[in-house]
Amino acid sequence: MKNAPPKVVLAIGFFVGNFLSAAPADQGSLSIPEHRSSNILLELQATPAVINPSEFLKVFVGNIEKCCEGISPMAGRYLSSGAGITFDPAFDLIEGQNYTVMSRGRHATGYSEPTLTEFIIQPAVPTAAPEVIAMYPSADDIPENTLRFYIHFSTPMQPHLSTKFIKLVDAKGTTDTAAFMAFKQELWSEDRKRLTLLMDPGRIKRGVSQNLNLGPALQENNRYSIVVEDGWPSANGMSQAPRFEKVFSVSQALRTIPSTDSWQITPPRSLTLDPLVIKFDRPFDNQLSQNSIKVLSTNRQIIPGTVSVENHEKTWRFEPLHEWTNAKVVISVDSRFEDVAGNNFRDLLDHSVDSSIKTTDQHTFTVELKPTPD
Amino acid sequence: MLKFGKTTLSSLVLATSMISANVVQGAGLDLKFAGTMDFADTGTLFVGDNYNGAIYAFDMTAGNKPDQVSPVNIGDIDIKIAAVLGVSPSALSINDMAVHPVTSEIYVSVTRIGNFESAPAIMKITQDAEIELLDLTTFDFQKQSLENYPDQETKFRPRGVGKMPPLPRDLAKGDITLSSLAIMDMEFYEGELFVSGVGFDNFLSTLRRIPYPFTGEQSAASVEIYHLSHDQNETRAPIRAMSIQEIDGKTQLIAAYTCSPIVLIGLDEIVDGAKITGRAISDYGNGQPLDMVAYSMQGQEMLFLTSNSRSPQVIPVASMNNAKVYTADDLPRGGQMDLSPTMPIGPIGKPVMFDGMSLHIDALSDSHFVSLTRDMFTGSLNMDSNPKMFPNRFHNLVAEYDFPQYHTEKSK
Repeated sequence: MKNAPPKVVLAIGFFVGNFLSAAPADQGSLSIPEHRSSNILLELQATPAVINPSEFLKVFVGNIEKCCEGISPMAGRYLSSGAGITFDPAFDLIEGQNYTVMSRGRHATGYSEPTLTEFIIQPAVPTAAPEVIAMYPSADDIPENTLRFYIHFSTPMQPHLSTKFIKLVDAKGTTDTAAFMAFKQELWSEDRKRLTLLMDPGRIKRGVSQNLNLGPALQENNRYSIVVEDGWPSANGMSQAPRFEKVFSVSQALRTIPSTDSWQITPPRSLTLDPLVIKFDRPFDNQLSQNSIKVLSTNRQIIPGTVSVENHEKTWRFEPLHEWTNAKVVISVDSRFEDVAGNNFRDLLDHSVDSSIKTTDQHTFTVELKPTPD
Repeated sequence: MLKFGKTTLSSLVLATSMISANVVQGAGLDLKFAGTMDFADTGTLFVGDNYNGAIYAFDMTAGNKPDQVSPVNIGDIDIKIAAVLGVSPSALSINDMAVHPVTSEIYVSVTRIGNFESAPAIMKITQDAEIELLDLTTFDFQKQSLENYPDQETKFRPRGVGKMPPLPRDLAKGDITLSSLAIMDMEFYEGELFVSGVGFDNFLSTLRRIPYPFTGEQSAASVEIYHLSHDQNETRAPIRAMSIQEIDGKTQLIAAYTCSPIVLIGLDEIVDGAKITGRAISDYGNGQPLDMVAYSMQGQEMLFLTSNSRSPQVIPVASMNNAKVYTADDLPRGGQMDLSPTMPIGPIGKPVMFDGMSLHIDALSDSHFVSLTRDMFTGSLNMDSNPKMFPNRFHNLVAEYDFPQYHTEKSK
């Protein structure tokens, strides 16, 4: 973070005082804060043992032109040591707010005249340029009936612009304008850094009118791009994201209900911090993968740890916070956990009208840990 | 919270008596919002925190009584408080004001709005009109969490006026949670704190009584009233302002509601789990009450009742004795407004002149109120000390007395 150089205005009296005093004045060296929680420090060559620190250093809200007649200084705590005087404001400073420091040093016969120094804490936000940093599914090859895409941005973005900037383009360069669901409200994460993009389910579900009229948006064996056009402004409006393009090919649709029986589990060893690794038979929804699978002890207590999703959303990796102590652990999978095509453990997204829906909430299975290494 | 509080917390002594699960004593102060305030007679300050759903009691009993109470007048007090907090005035919201009954210092509860968070603060205005930020961590305190606290999600339903669609500022009401009214007014009376506000899930208007020092014991009763001008029984809108007085030889709570019935409730009726029906005795006209200050004037007990929409109403307490209690059958059917022949009704005292609008008012001394007053013409917010007999300033008035010739003539 870079500060604008502090504006320094010296009161006229300061010069007069300097000319008249015989001994050189110790005007002090002022450290201007750079962060919201910084203190303000005035270094003095020799700090007298008993002083009223506010005689040397006061901080006012507002710019230098308004300072400081009739304005109370900010509340805070003074600490004085041999090196100088520190002012610790009662509250964090405000980004974008002007402050003026009144400081003065000493000379042989008393205080020198006050110096006014204005500063502003620059907002931290503009330092990160907006850009697309990830898109899920991340594989170069995705099923024809892929339902949900996630676009991750480096900074919070302005909403209500997705239809303007995001396009699905086929190999010939033709844009499909009806590929994604158009909602009144876009599906942003709370910090407005992750946008969820849904393929119009009407294009995916076979036999419904959108599917019959327009056909599926993605077709097997073809190549497509999702393009985020250049110029999408960040939430603070200060900068714009450059163009992003993700090319992928389309493979066979996923039309079977997922089953944990098709997963490959690599059990960890007892009394180690080994990860517990699950290899899926297909790519799963990146976002749901973060919290749809829980590792429990046999008495159903949650074992804390961190989850990472790898291998283009086909590998789930759990690193325990503490060493494994149980001989067995239980893996509990939320039955709403979806593969990239929106199929969960209860039913297929595109199920036939007469198919029955499973009603379980959780799928659980037990994993036996490997023995402790010697 | 105050940054410099962190280091002093460890020095607080943990009291050992009377600690129950929902009373915290001497532990770290976790105040998130400084809202409604009231003082006990000896100087304990009660602060309502609508975010935590709790009331904090700070021991501020150490101060001394001044020989003489000085009027305090501070122009542009919002700008001056903001300066002490290191923010611009637009980043300050003033929540309540209360006068210390012993020291006559004036306390103002505020919210300081930062870049990413808001912080509570209480300012002390001394008898010398100095504005200080109170370091709350230097006081012993107790915290009482409130039971039957409303959820913090449900919001108000915006409405326009008549057939006019709601304006953006009407729609903004839809962003306000009901729980912001959970601690509306507090009155300390003979060892107990009475708290009005919204509570429970559906039957919202609630009166709580909590013994102090806090023991964990608390009672919450639902309050229903017959609303004179709405011509209906109401259970949701809470008591906005209240006072506890002797009426008809009984200790009763005088409660002021929006639009604008005044209702009596016997203290003995406020029992945990009770569904109370308040007795509506008067309605002085449409508006939303802000503060009800009890004071004596010429040997008479009075109430000074401010509103966001009308001149303050001065009501003699004695006029409420033997008052008729109005029920649905006593008035013509249908809503009653200011211009209806039946309004105003009951013992309502008199409206009095007040230049500007008082956002918060309290009794400062035997002779003066202190008020945070919005100036109608400049919009500035001033702390004024107003004589109880005639609570005004004259800067916006031009009368005969402001002509120099008048005084020249009189002096002849």
